[in-house]
Amino acid sequence: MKKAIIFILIISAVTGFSQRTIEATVSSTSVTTYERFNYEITVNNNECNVSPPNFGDLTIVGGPYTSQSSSFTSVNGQRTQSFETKWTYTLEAKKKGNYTISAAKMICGDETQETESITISVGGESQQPSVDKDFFMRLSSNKSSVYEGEPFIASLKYYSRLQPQSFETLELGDATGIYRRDLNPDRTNFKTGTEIRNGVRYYTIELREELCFAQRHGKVQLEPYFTSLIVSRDFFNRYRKETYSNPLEMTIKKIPGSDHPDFNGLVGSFEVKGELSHDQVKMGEAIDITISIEGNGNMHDLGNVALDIPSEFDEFDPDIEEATKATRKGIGGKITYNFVVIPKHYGSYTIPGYSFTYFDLESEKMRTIQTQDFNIEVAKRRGVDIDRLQEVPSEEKSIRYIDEKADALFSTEDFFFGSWGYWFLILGPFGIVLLLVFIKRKKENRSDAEIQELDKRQILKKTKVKLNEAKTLLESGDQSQAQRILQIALEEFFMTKLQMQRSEQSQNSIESALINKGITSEIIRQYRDISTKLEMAQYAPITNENLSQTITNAENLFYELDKNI
Amino acid sequence: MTTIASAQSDALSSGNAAYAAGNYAEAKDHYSRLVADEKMSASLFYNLGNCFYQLDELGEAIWAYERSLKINPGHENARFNLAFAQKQTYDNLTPESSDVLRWFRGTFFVLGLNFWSWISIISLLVFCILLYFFFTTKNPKIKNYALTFGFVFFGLLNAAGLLAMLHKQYIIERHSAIIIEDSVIIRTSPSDTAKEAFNLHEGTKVDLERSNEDWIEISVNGNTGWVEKEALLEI
Repeated sequence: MKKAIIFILIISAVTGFSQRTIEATVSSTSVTTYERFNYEITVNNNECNVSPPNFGDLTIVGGPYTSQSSSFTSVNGQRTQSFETKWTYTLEAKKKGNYTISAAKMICGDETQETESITISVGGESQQPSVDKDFFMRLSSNKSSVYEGEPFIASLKYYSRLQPQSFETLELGDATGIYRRDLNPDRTNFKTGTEIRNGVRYYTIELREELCFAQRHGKVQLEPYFTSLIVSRDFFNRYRKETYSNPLEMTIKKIPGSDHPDFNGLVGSFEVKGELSHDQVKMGEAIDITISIEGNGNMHDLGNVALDIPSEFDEFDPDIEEATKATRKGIGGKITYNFVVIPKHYGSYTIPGYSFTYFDLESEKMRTIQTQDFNIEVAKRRGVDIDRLQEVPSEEKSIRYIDEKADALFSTEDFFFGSWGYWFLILGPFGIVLLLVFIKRKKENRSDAEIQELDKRQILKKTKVKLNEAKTLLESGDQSQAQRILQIALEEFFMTKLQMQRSEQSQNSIESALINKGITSEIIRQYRDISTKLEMAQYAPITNENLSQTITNAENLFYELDKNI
Repeated sequence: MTTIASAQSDALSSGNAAYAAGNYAEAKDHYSRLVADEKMSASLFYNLGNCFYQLDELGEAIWAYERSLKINPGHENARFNLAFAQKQTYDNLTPESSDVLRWFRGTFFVLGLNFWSWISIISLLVFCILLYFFFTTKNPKIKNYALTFGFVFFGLLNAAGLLAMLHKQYIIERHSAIIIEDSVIIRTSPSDTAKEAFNLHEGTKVDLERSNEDWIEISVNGNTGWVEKEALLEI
């Protein structure tokens, strides 16, 4: 036994000298949501490097706070110096569940030592009032049901059985989907009082009032607020009390008709006014258009105000002046947008008034309000735009003078083309020429008549030749041939002279033709004689002398006729 | 006839006198009266254009200069003043004028109203004479000459006639216009409630397309749309 004790003492002494340790502890492994607990790393030296663990989804509310201490111990003459370094973290979990804090590490040269990992189990919500009836905090709303964008007031009131001394911290809970504004941001004193609840007397402090606007419909929540106060039981007994409030859940109503295309998200009651600085200007002169929106509601949500400015104006981003205040009724006041536009061109322009649609809380209906239209007259600028003039390549800076010697005036009727006179002069000569050509051609056709004339002149000669031929035939004894030749000579003569075909020729027809030509009856008798004789000779032969005589008579006849036809 | 002619020249000289004295409105009245009587001349429109310009009526001034140049494309002063005025238009679109067309008009349309008509008539007469000889002569050499020259003068007749017709059409027909309202909205169809296509301003030259009762379709720089006829003056 003695040996064991000595052994242990020696070991401890030795280990007390040289062993380096790291330890991690928590104040509680089982907590509720939002309940804070501490995590502490203890290291017995100050030579090594320490790296903190991973806290996972746990929220670090405070720390790390560091503390160092050293102490001397003397045991049976043995002196040992020990060091201690502590790191303390204050943690909380927001949701139920199991959380693991990983190991913390200590690195001494080549050596690494680790703590164990620690599991924290986080239970359900704890309502402070049921846990602690002496100290609680109540978060309440002045309205039970609101629309999106409708203001309500969240009040935080502290109840304490003991008189609170001083106020350390106040931390707001998260409020997703809610816009909050402290109604008393500059307050230094809190309103205090007393209240009796359930027969118990409490001291009350009104810690905070917040003007809230829900930014969406459905369920929204203000998460528990946290305070730490100093309370005193009696003079020597003071301690810090940390308290969580209840969360505040609100059901937010959807705005009816919020899909209206012009709805700009404002809720409350508003008026809009428009002001035009000048309605008659010259080109290049600046004009101010002021749109002011006045009222009460969620004015912080007012987005962009824009005007439909025609392209003939230069426009600039508006100057915005905001004069609003958060009151118990909401955010109220006036926001002014000042637009500056500069016309680049003359003419009459109308800028349509600014209009917007908001949800009126009193009547619980969408309401559209608008300013008047802005009518602007821009006068022509007398004179020339000097900048543009640079493009005219000349030294002349004004227009040239009028024509003093004017050219002749005319009108569209003075055009000759297409008029009656014109077409007459075009078609006239053409027609005339055609006519002339036609006439000339006709004249040339009469040369056929000349041919006839020629023939007529020549027929006598031709006939004489034929008659000579007949005579010769007769002398040679060919009586019948001579007859035939004579006959032919007669026919050809009359063909030419009287223009009668052989088939048309008969004694009678020739006689009447001769009569028509005015031939004397004496000559006609001569013809008759010859013709008859020839006819008879066809049936009964005549003597040579007879035929010879007939030929000679024919010759004479032809001669006579030729003179007259 | 002579009284009318002298009354006209009176109106012109009264106009010129008024302009010289600086009474631009009065001068404008004198010239406008002649225009209302359907009288035209390059100088008349040019002087009228100057009056409009002095009275700050930019659109009408540009219209008058354009009409003057239509009659006499070689009027240098009108061309200068037109460019001057165009530089002050808001839209400042460069007018697309084909140089070839401009040269063509400047060469052929400046010889007087009826120059080409007379040339065509003379050509016709020569042609007719040649035609006559062609059909009536027996001499093959003459016939040949007549044929050749006949074709030449026939061609000349047609060319001169065509030019005369083109010249007349050019002066009489209106294919373009100038915007005279300060600023107009050009719409996609001929109605006040139609969708807006784009804007135009005073002094801009547009081409004319189809027309309606009160509205007319215009095109400029490749864009087309409808506008009320009273917003422009045809060139």
